[in-house]
Amino acid sequence: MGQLAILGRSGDTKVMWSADNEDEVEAAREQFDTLIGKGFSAFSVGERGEKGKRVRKFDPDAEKLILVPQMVGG
Amino acid sequence: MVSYYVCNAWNVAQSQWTTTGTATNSTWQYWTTGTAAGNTITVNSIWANWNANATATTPIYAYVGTNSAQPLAETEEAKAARLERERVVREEWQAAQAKAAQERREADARAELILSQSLDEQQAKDYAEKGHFDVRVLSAEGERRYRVEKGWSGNVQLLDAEGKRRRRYCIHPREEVPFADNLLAQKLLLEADEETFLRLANAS
Repeated sequence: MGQLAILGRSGDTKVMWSADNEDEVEAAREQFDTLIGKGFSAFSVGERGEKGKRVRKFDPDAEKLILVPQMVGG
Repeated sequence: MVSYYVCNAWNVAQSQWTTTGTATNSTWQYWTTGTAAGNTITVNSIWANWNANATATTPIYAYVGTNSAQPLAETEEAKAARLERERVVREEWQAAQAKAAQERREADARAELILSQSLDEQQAKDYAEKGHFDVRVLSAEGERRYRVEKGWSGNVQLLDAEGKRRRRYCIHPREEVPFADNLLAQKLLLEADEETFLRLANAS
């Protein structure tokens, strides 16, 4: 089961999908693409503490993707 | 007597307005003094002519000023209704505040959980005990050690080999997120794309 964790004001919102379910994959992909278009950054993370990798395209086989709002200098 | 003068005044006034168009024997003159003579109108004469019991010797003063206006006393019923309205508004506000605080606590808890799932064992230990964790970034120039502290901005430091601060960086999500989510975002960007991190962050 893949998981999309979208960071936001209320903490993270999760979108789950099964790689075998086309509708779920499509819904997750659409959400992913929309947020990337809004400036979010996506990172594929694995086991606890494992370094994440930046991704720019939705991977239905990914275990966990974390989407972070656009970062800005403070 | 008064009524005679009023009627007479009105009749004469009408004739004045229709025949001569002048104000020599003005309507006001007749209404106040009951005579056609004299051009002096006084408050005394108005009252005296309109009220048979009044005299013209006592000056009558009257004014309405903002200083003299007093608010009507609140009845017990009105007071009770006002207090009830205030109580309802106050309780609604308190409930909204409590709900917002609860939502913030839940958001913080979710953020702390997802951050803890992303830290390795040493990072988790440091974060729990000291409120910060270190992120090591390998590059062609060697390893760089960044310290990410609890906070929103200016909370990322580049450390030298002795652990002293060399630079401080200020970078965070454009929109407000719980503090722990901010730390997670900084960690992920540092590890996966140090170049972008350094390009976006304000350094000091």
